[in-house]
Amino acid sequence: MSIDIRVPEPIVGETEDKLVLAPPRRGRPPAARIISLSILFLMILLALAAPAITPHDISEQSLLSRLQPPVFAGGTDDHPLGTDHLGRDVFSRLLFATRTTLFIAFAGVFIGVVAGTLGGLISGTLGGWADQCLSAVVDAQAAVPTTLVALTAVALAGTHPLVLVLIIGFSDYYRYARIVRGQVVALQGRSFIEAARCSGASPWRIAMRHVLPNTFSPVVVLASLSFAEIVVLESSLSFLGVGVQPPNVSLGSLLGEARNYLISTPWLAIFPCVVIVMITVAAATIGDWLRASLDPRSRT
Amino acid sequence: MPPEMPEAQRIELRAKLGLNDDIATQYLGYGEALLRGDFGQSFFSKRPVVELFMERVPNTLLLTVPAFVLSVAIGLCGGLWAALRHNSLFDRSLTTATVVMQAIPNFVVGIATILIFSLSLRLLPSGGMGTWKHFILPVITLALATCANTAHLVRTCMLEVLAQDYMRYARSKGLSPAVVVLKHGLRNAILPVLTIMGLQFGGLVAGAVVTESVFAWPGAGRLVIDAVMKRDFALLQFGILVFSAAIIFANLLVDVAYGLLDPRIRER
Repeated sequence: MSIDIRVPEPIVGETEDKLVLAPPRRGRPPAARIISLSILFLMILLALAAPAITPHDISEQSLLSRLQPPVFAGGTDDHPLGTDHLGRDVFSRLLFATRTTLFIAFAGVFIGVVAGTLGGLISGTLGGWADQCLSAVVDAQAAVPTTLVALTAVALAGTHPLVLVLIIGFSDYYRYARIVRGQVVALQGRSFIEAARCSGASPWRIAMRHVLPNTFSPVVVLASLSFAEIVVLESSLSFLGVGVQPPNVSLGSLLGEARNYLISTPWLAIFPCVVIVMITVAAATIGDWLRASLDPRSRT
Repeated sequence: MPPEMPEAQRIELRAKLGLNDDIATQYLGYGEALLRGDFGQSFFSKRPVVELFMERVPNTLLLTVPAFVLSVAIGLCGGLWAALRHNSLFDRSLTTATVVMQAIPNFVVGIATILIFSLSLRLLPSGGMGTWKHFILPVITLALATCANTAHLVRTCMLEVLAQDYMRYARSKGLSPAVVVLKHGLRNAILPVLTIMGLQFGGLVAGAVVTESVFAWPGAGRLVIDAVMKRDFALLQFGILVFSAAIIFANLLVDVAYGLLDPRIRER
C-alpha cells in the first residue's frame, strides 16, 4: 500500500514561474474526470446530509428482520439495501460509514499537509543541524510501511477516534515535508528571493510570503493523490478491527463485519466495496489529472 | 490488567513485569535482553515470541515470495510491452489500469475475488491453507497490489531509454531487436525500477498483513494483528522488529543488485 507517487519535481531553472494548464491529454477522456468529480461531489453531499436522510438509526437493531435482502432482490421499501446480522439498516449504516471515512480522510490530509509543509519549510529555511535532524526523521518514516506504523501506534495509543485521525494524518506528512524542503532549497538561488533578501526581508518573511506560495502546486497534487491512499489506510485499519470502533462505522469496518456473512448475504460486503472503490478511484483520477495539468514535466 | 483484579496480584504482576522501574531502566533492560538474544515471551500464551514467530514466518514467505515473483513478472512484461507499443490501445489501458489498481485497497480485491471465484463460480477455496488451490487467490491478490505500479514504472523508464542515441546506434549496427531491447534497453531502464521494488517490499509486507487476514492465512501478519488486538506488546515488538529487519534486508539486496547490474557502481 505504500504506493509510489511520482512527485512532481520542483519547478526551477528552465521552466517559467507560471504554471500553464496542459492541453487535454490523449488517452484519458475528460468524461472520466467529470464522472469522478461528480462522484466525489455526490459522496460529500450524501455524507454531509447523512443525519437528515437516513431512514433508521445506525444502531437500531431488530432481530426479527435480520439479514433482509435489498429491495431489488425482494426486500422491503423500509430497508432499501436490506439489513445486517443484527437487523440494522444497511443503507443508513452505509451513509454514516461514508461520512466517517470521508471525514477522517479530509482531516488526515489536512493534518498531513499542515505538518508536512511546516516541517519542510522549517527544515529548508533553517538548514544546518535542524535540517539534518528533520530529514533523518522523515527518511526513517519513509522507510517503514505506513500500515505497520499505524498498527503500532494504535496498539500503544488505543483506538480513540481522535488518536486515529492523528495517526492517519501523521502517516504521510513526510512526503509533503520532502517536496516542500526540496522546493525551498531549490528556490534559494532564484532572483526574486534574492531581491526580497536585498530589500531587507527577514528569513521568515521570505519563507512565508515568497517561498510558501511557490510550493502550492506540488502540495495540491500530492494531497489529491494521497487522499485515495488515506481512505485505503483508514479502511484497511478499520477492516482489520483496529481502526474505527463500534458503535461508529466506517466503510472498512462495515466490510470487516460483512466478511463473516459472505456466503449467506454477499451484498453486505458488496455495497461498502463499491463505495470504497468509487471514492478511491475517483480521487485517484482527479489526482492524476491535477498532476498532469499542474506539472509541465509529467506530460508524456 | 482487568480492573477487577485483586490489589495483591496487581502489585505482584507489576513487579514481575518490571513496571515499577522508570522508563529508561525498562528500555535499557529490553535492549540488553535483545543483545542476549532474549526477545521475551508472549503475555498470553507464555511462549517465547521467537518460537511463535518461527511457526508462522514460513507460511508468510510461501505467500509473499510467489506474489513478488508474479508481480515482477507481470510488471516487467506489461511495462515493456506498453513502452514498445507506445500510445497503443494496450499502452493506454495499462496507464488507466495503473491509476485504478493503485486506488483499490488490497482487501477489496481479496473480497471481490472470493465473491467471484469461491462463491459464484465455486472454483477455489475462500481461505485457509492446504492444497495448491488455496494459494491462488491470496497470491494473486497480493501481486495485483504492486504489479500495476511496477508496470507503470518500467514503462516510464523504458520510454526514456528508448529515446536515447545509443539505442538507435545498437539497432543500426544490426543487433537483433531482442538484444537491443533486453540488453541495451532494459538493463539501463531497470535501475530506478529496482529502487522502487525495494520500497515495494515494505508495501508487500503490509499487504501480506491484510491479505492473510482476508484469506484466514495462518501467517506472521495475522499474528501481529492479533498482538495488536490483545495488546500483547512483547509479541508486537518482535513482529515490528522482524518486519523492519526484513525491509532493511530487502533494501540491502537492492543495493547489491545495483552493483551486479551496473558496472559503473561496481567500480566505485
